[in-house]
Amino acid sequence: MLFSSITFIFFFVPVFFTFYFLLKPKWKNSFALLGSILFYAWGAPKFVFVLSVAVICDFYLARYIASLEGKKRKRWLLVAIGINLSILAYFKYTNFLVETVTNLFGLESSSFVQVLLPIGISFFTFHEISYLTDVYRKTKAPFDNLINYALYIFLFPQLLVGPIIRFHEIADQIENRNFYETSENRLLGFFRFAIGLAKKVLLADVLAIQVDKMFSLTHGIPDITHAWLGAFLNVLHIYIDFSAYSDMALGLALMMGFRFPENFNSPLIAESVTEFWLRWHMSLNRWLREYIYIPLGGNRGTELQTCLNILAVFFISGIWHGANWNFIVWGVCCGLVIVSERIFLQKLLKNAPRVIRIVVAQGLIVMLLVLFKCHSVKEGFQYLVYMFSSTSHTSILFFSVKTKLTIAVSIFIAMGSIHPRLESLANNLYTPFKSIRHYGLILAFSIVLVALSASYISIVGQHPFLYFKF
Amino acid sequence: MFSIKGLLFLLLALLWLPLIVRYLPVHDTELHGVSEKVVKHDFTLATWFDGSFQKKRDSYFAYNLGFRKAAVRLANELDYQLGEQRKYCVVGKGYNLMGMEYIDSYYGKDFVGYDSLKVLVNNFLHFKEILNKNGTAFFVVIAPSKTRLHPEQIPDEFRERETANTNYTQFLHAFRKTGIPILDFQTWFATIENKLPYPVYSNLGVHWSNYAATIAADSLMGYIGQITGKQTNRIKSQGIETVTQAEGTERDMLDILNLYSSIPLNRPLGKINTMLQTDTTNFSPTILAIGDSYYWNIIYTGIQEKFFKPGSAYYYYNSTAYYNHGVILPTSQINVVKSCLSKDVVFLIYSEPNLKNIGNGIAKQFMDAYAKADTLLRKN
Repeated sequence: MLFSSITFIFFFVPVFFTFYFLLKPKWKNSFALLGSILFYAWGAPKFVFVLSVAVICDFYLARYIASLEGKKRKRWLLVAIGINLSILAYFKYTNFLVETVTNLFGLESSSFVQVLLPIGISFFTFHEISYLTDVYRKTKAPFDNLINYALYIFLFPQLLVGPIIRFHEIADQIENRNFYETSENRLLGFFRFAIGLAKKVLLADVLAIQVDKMFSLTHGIPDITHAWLGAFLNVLHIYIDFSAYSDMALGLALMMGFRFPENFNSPLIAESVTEFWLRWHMSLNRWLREYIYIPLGGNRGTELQTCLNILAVFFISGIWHGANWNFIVWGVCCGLVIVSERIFLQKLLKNAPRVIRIVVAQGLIVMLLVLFKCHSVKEGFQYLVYMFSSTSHTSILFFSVKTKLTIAVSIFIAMGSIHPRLESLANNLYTPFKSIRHYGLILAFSIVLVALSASYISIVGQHPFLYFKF
Repeated sequence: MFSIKGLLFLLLALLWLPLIVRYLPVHDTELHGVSEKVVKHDFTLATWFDGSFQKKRDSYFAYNLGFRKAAVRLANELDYQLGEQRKYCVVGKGYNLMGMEYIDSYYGKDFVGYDSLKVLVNNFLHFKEILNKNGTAFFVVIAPSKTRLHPEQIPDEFRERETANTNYTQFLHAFRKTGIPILDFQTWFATIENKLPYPVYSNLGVHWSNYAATIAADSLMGYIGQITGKQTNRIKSQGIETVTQAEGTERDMLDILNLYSSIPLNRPLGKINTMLQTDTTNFSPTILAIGDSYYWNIIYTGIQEKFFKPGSAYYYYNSTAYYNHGVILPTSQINVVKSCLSKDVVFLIYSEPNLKNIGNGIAKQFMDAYAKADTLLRKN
């Protein structure tokens, strides 16, 4: 089920939350689990069984690991992680592997049946690994109750596209979230959901049309200006679309009494690519740092080892994003840029004005995300050539007032925090207010945003989120 | 005034409202245009697991939600005010509404190509020869396109380089070359438009105005007379009324925009008060018209009923047959050979975007059925 569908907004949300608010605390987890399973099954009914089997296996494996000590404990952790990665590998990478091998050896692949990708598999696999690892590390004790663990995996606000919540961040809230379950938080949660919905429907979906037009080259080969504009709008679109989903997820979670960690912190004003990754998809990067980068040695070894660790993490990040060469190349390129910054680029720009540092960093990000957008490495590099070639030409693209307004608002949302006062406003947007009048205002504003978004969903239908394919 | 809990209760009530309101007798003005009614589908395990139940239920919720019609109008209104174009209705310069398919056809985007064009025209040529041999006249009518008549009204964002490779230009050329009679209202209206006191098109519609359809209907009668060599009945005018309100297809584009606001008519329209007096000494043919929606405007003038014999029919996109005597039939149930050969006149009437499917297969159907019947006749 999509957050931006009529079924979700006007059927699932009122029905689910009415009962959820009325239920006694001891029944809330069971009810939330039921709702989450229905939410997942609505879009992927067959894969509920795959996910359920994985959940049951991991629940008992984690308890077994918790009962062990020494090498056996580590061995069983590796077995459990291996099982989860095998499931991920089978569903996500079989097609890619078969295609690569058949292309490499010129074999016939007509008899191969494509494996369908269960939606959200990359996210719930990372949740499962987080649970197993945290139990192994004794950061948190495993759940006694299968319902609680199943809820951690199935919890519908984060099930499909994250944010990736590490087990130790949320374990206590799953067992008891009385502290956050207040009427104020429910209103603030809905406010955030409405903002996310509006960002998705009113902004991201409009940007997507322009980006697709510019990248599909239907208006001819772009000149330098258009190529850069298209690439910049691509970054803006990915950010607005993905941060919209995160806003909706965080809002819905808050309505349920969960406080999820933030997933974005104005990445488009980052002064370096390294900083960008500290502000972009923060939950994934925290996960990669904690479960891959640090176990590999982090920055505790020599400079060379650190650089290799960075490259390894970004290689994994690339392949996690998608089973395609363009994602792998994109991941490696990101790693190489960060290594370059570590070695010389940041030193070079150290004394440059902030604006220059931002322009350089964002320029690199714009180029890197071209690979993320295109369907193949060749297509990606071809587009990058257009960004630097003066021989290409295009017919002038026309932007309606609505598109111009959408771009302006999106830029304001993405880069407004460059001003300290706006940054402080953004940081305090979802913190509890003192007066009831403020809650009245945000409720009215939320209803207007939901009504407007629902109007557009009524005429153009629902569009899946960009990160659904991962 | 409100407590936080009160606000939360209000929020839940507002979220429930669209679900509840569909069961209440709340007036919600119907939307214009064609849309498929979405019906409720029953749950089965098979449809649940293949996901089709969920997809259909999503559509059902979306289609039947309370305030949906108001919501559609709201989004349309905002988009219209912000200059966002819809594919099905483009707001051209001077608030001239037009269909995107007319713009695409004008720029040759739907051009069938020379090979297909040759095949189609050859089919029509053979079709014409057989009909003529059996005493039935055949000709083609091309209805005018608002976009081709006024390309200057195309909005800037849809402007492209003009080309001669369009269905209109190439079909016209091929029909003329092969000797298939053609009544080209496009060229005719382009020539006389400046002399006409009323517009050929309302700025709010994609079809010709009632005024233009009436003079076209009279010209059609004249052309039938010319091609059959007989005197036909003609429309007599009892005066022209100036109207400031567009009616029916004169405002079809405005209607399907489904806005809260309205777009004014930029020129008064003419309404000819016609007198369809039948002179029994004149030739009253049995006709078969095969065409698109432009022919409806001709039918609305009354000539089909008054000047053509009751056996006359209109095959709408060669899919549904509308007979003068009121019978409506799918064309698949009709013997195409018998039907065509029993008529005095057979003609096609298409506007530019439908030229790519001109005839909707009638010529090929006829030839196949005719060849089959001929073989049977020879065997017997």
